[in-house]
Amino acid sequence: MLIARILAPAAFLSLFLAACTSGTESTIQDREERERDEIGQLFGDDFLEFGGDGDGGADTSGGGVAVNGFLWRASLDTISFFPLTQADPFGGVIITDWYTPPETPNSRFKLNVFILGRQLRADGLRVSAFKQERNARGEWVDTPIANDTVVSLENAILTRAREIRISSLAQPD
Amino acid sequence: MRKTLLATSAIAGASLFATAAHAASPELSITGSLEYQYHFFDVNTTDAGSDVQKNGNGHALSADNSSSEIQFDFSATADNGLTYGGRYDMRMINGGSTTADEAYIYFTGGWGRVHIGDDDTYSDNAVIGGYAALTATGGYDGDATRYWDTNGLVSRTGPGTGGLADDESRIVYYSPNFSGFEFGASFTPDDSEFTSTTNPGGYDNQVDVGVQWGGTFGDNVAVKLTAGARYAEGGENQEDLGAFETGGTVGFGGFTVGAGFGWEGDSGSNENLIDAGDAKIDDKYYMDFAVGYSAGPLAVGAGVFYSEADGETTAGSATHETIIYSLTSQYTLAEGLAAFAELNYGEFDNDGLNTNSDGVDRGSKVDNTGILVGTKISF
Repeated sequence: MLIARILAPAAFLSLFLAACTSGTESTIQDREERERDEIGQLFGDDFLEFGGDGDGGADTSGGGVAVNGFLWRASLDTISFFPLTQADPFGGVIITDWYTPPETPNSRFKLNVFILGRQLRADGLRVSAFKQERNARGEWVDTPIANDTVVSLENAILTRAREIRISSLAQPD
Repeated sequence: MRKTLLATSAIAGASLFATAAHAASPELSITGSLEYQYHFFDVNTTDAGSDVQKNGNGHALSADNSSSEIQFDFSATADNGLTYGGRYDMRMINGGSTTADEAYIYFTGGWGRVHIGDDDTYSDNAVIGGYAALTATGGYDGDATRYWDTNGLVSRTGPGTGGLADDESRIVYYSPNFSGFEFGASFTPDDSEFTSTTNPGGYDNQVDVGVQWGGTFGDNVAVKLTAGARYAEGGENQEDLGAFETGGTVGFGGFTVGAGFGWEGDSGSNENLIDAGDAKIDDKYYMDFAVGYSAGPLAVGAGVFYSEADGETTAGSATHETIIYSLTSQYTLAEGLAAFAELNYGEFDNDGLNTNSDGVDRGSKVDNTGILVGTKISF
């Protein structure tokens, strides 16, 4: 009994001292956590999380916005030269009006941006782009748009979102 | 249009400001699961001391207690960087009542994590065996034996070594993960200190230690190796607990192969045979081996568990053997929804203990077969 009383605190002390360097969070789970990981969760990983910054450290829904705040802000920044017809921060929908670039007066573009969740992740964003060209009679006709354009736009928004997130982490609370 | 732009800019600005303010704010998360199983079971017993065969079978619908629970986790980070929080876990009991399962406070930082409260031991969670390759409820490590009759002197029905139960009040330390390497320990103090000058029975002052390593080789091979040991003082007329376990898994492609071994010698045995019913047990160990395969939403597994111990009572001595075969399958129907089925067959044999009035050793043997089907939802 005496040995256990001496050894137990000593063991803990040595473990604490040995562990006083930083690693990553322990990966050990109990049985129920492992089972939940196997089959997933009905509402996703963090639907029933309140407060905090979510699993990815990027969730801003606590501020009254129901979608990821970084993606929301980055989307507005990236397409700021488009006139907006609708911007719903709760539904995560941004719909622009037609925009004609000065260098191509016979082409105009319109964008729909959907932010799909509260986490900062690549599949949390979807962009739809539309293009029209003016024909000889002066009418606007729909024209196919290259898929690369949409991907480039999504990448630009994601890159901007990452920049905003990094800069926000650098700021003191 | 200008109003729209101004409004959206203001909201966006507010949300960005809120992000910074929330970086260290308190957080509450709610998770849980609900699982129901239908069991079909069949028991064939050669009764001790006679030739009489007792046969029984039946079926039952029940919740899985350990997988039917709601769990609250809460945490916050102090200005000095210390993250603190707790877990409160309410578990369902068949019949409509609930009980607290885990309930602990924790502190965590770059140095690791400490739990204080009712929790599993470190080695309970860190050490795995071959059963980690199984699915559904876990075959011989799951709910296979819920309705079985072991009729045994040493009724071991699955992996694990003895010791103070899960969710006793204890202190647990989890190290951080260093390149796949982790270790930890837990201490469960004397629970009879203030109630009795002598411990009438049961372990006290249990110390558990454990270590695990997980890593990958190339793109397709994942390895996990674990080991743990525990010691506790025995109660009155009870041997001390001294046990160790080791096990691991290797995963490649969709396959997982796992194996485990545990030894606990005479842990928990009566030191002396004083009263009728006292038992001395020695050389108690187990081993298991399992193979699993998963392809998309489907996971299947097959495993075998074997254990042996020498027993002695005032009536005689026996060698106890348990062998269980398990086949498991699980299909994830949707995110958080799975259906599963298991077939388990077990033999519990007390060889040498039971003699009939004619002096012929007839042993005491029980064969059990169980099929269970069920469904579980997690949220």
